[in-house]
Amino acid sequence: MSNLSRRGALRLTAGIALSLTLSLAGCGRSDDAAATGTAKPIDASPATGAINVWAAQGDADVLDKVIEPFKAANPDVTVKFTLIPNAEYYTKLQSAIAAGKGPDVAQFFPESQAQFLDPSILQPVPDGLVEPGGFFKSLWDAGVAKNVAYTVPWYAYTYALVYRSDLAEKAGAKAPATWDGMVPFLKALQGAGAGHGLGADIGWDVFNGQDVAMYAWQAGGSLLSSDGKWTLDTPAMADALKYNASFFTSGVADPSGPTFLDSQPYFVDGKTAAMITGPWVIGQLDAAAKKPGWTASHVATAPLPAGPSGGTSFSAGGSWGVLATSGNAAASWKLVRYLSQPGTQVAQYKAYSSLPAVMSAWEDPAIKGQPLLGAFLTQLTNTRTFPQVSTWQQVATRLGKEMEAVAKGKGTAEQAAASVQAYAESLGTGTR
Amino acid sequence: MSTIATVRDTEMISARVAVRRRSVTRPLLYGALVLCALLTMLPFVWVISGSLRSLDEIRSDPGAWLPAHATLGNFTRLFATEGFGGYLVNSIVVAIIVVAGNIVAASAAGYALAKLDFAGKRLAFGAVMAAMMVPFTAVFVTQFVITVDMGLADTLAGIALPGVAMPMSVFIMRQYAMSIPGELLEAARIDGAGEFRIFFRIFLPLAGPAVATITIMSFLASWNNFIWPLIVAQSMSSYTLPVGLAATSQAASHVTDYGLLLAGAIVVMLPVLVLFLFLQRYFVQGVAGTGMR
Amino acid sequence: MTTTVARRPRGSRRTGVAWLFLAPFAIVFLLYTAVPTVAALGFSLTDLRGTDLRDPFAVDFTGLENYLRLFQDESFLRDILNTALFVVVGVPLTMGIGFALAFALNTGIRRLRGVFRVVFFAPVVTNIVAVALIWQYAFNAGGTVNKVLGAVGFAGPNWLDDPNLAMPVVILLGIWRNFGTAMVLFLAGLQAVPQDVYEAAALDGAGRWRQLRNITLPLLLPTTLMVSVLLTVFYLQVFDEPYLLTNGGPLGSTESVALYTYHQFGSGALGTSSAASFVMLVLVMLVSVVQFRLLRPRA
Repeated sequence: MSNLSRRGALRLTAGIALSLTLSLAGCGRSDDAAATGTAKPIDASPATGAINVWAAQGDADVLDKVIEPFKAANPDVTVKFTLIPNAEYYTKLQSAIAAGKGPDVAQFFPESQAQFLDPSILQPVPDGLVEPGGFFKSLWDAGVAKNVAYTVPWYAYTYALVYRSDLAEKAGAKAPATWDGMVPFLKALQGAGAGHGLGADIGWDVFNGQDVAMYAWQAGGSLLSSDGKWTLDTPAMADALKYNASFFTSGVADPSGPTFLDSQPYFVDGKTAAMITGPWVIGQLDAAAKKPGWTASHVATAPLPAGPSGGTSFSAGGSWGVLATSGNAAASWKLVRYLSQPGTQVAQYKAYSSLPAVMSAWEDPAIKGQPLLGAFLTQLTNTRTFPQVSTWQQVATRLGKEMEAVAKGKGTAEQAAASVQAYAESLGTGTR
Repeated sequence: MSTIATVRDTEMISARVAVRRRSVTRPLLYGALVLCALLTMLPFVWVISGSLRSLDEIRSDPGAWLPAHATLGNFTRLFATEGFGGYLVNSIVVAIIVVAGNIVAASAAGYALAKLDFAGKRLAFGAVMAAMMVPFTAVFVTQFVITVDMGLADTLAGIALPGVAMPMSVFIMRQYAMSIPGELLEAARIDGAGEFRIFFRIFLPLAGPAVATITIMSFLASWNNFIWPLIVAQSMSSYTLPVGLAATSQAASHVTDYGLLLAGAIVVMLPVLVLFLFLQRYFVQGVAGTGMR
Repeated sequence: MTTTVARRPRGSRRTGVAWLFLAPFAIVFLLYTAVPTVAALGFSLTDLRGTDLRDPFAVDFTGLENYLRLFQDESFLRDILNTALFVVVGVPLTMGIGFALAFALNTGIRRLRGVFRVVFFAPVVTNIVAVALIWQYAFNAGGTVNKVLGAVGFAGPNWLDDPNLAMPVVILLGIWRNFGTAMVLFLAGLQAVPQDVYEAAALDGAGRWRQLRNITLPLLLPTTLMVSVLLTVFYLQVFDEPYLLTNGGPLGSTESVALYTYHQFGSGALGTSSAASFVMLVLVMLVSVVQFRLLRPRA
């Protein structure tokens, strides 16, 4: 029996590595085959077969009940939901796509789904399935790549200013309409008895990056030029960073608190007087205050103050796509179509407080009758999508980290902008 | 190394050593250990306390030590979680496969590396060490592709297989085996026993502490494993306990149900502790008990 | 009259049997470690994104570009330092505590051993998410640690927000979680030291400390090596503690290489993520080789 000598083993390994490298070197990305923009239209016949749906745990928890009418109208179809923990959702989805073994329908998040918009991953949305104009524009656009739509919006949210109306009344202050008014407003709230005017988001991660990106828009800047180059090192971006930092440097926000568990208790106790957050808090503050009806008498909302170029915000939420590997595309699209109908959207709101992505659904009394949601609706009509490139998430994360340095006085806004620009350039835009 | 003492002398020595040990430092030692134990347990007080409080109570006063109104609500909700029983069974099955595999396969490999001489031994040991060092993030996608190609996606076997012979187990067994004298095994060989017989009948019984360590470590790795079972499962019926709990732990949008999380943490922890308790006596068995000639 | 037959020595080499013993491990190793590792090496030389895996040969070969970019990225270099700090401080402390406890439980006391063992092993077994939550809360600006410090007159800092103090807290969590493992491993190793060795030494007049130094520690060398290597390998890949406590902050002072890799993967950058993983692998291997040299039992 021959020994596998050490030299022999080394030679073997080198050989494998070399051949692998050579075979890789021989390849490269081929030029794009243009994606077919149209798919067969979906008819009105009942859906049949099995539909496998993957969704992130959260708003999707109630889907099984919400689609009861769909199941009744389509008795020959079985819909199976698999709920996946939120934080690992994309990891699992990407692994499944890599192995070619995924669901028929998968949920996506408009603010971070650019990496999936490709015909090798998702089937294009069939013509006539839904009315694109019925959705908030930025949500629909978030699913479009190279003029082909791949996802259909499901629910929506955006950030607005949520503040203590009682403290504002006491201080005689009104919600700020422009950037200049923001810090004075928060100071006034502080003067009326709050510990800090603002309970800011201090995770210093991709969510902060999204905030800064939004402020950059409001300052008149863009993130990506029309020919695909990063434009992050601009005066507008520096202004955005300075504006965000001003919350901390002026003393109306604490760069180290409150943390997750505390943000609502602090707000209720008056330790903070305002939050820049999403609509879900409205349904939760009563519980935090341990008093039903507290929210109605203590809380008001307003769209975010406008910068030099307006008050544009980003939109986020959930969306649906049908995977390229799906064997039951017809039934899958029928389900997606059902989920985008105003009636279903309202049912989803009633079951989980998910705000509709369909504009007409907001007319429903259940939603219209909730005064605090008005600011979110106003804001949702003034939103943009983030750059539709696969490296945006990494860039946004980096932006959030640079924001921390500026907020804590460890760097200037100009340095931060330059640093993010350099990082983004080194990453490229990941386009093929 | 040692002088050979007669049986009687040994008994006398034991007695003398025992007397010497019963010194003043003993109560101090107990005291120090108790202090360490209390410090170690401190975070658990909170976990237990938190699991007995309602979510509202946790949100309004997160820092409290004791529950204002202790309630078993989190636990009832936990056990009533749809599919909980299934998740539990899945975790148990996977753990059994993994532990059995490690006890037999990893022990065998570790034993061979320590006690047998063979061609390619260095290469094999190098492979074991290298395997321990490869980060999970580098390989799990390919592992999943392989799992799918073998038709094991969405199966408990698919979840268990990568962990069935952990390099850490091999390493532990090898190190332990190196401290077991080889004479016993040689003697058996001279008597004509086959290698497998030697391994199962003579070596394994001596390796109690190592087997116990491997059992608890591989059980722990399997029981708490989260990302891999999440990726392999294609439907919720294949979820193991940690995955199932994570997928059902939010009370409402954008809010984590901390009470449920803490209750889940306790429930998940208990079987491992029970197993550890059960394995206690194997930790103290040793060569000492074998009557060396 | 005896005839001496020239015989092949019955041979201490049992290659066939040995590989039979190794076979199950070898199969699992090939399938789940060897192939994926080679594949990952390949990925790290391309600009592969997660979505390219179904047609991997259609990506662009970029050579060492990913690696170059990594080493030019200040935050990656900083993360290597962070991880090194975690290891250099964490491993000796964890080992020291683990050994002290194992020795105390093995030889120091008689009663309640089982109870102590369970108590000290419990942190190893807990759900890290729950514990990290508690830890975060305890080290908050107004949390328990500061309340206790306040009671004795110290004004406690905001631990997790200070770039200089956050890492010690993260290391503390790591030690708390893992000293039980070290203890258990040392306990097993201590069992392998036969009693009569101690007794004979006592007969020769050796005191307890002499016994510890001259008998226990040398005999424990294989175990010590094992604990050291295991802990180092484990800590070099530290992820849960920095991720759950501080997500790498503040200002990246607690971000580990594994956390960096994870962030890359989450954005779909499989090429970069694989490259970072490989750097980590090489680091781990280097450190382990050094340890093997240092702690090799002298025959």
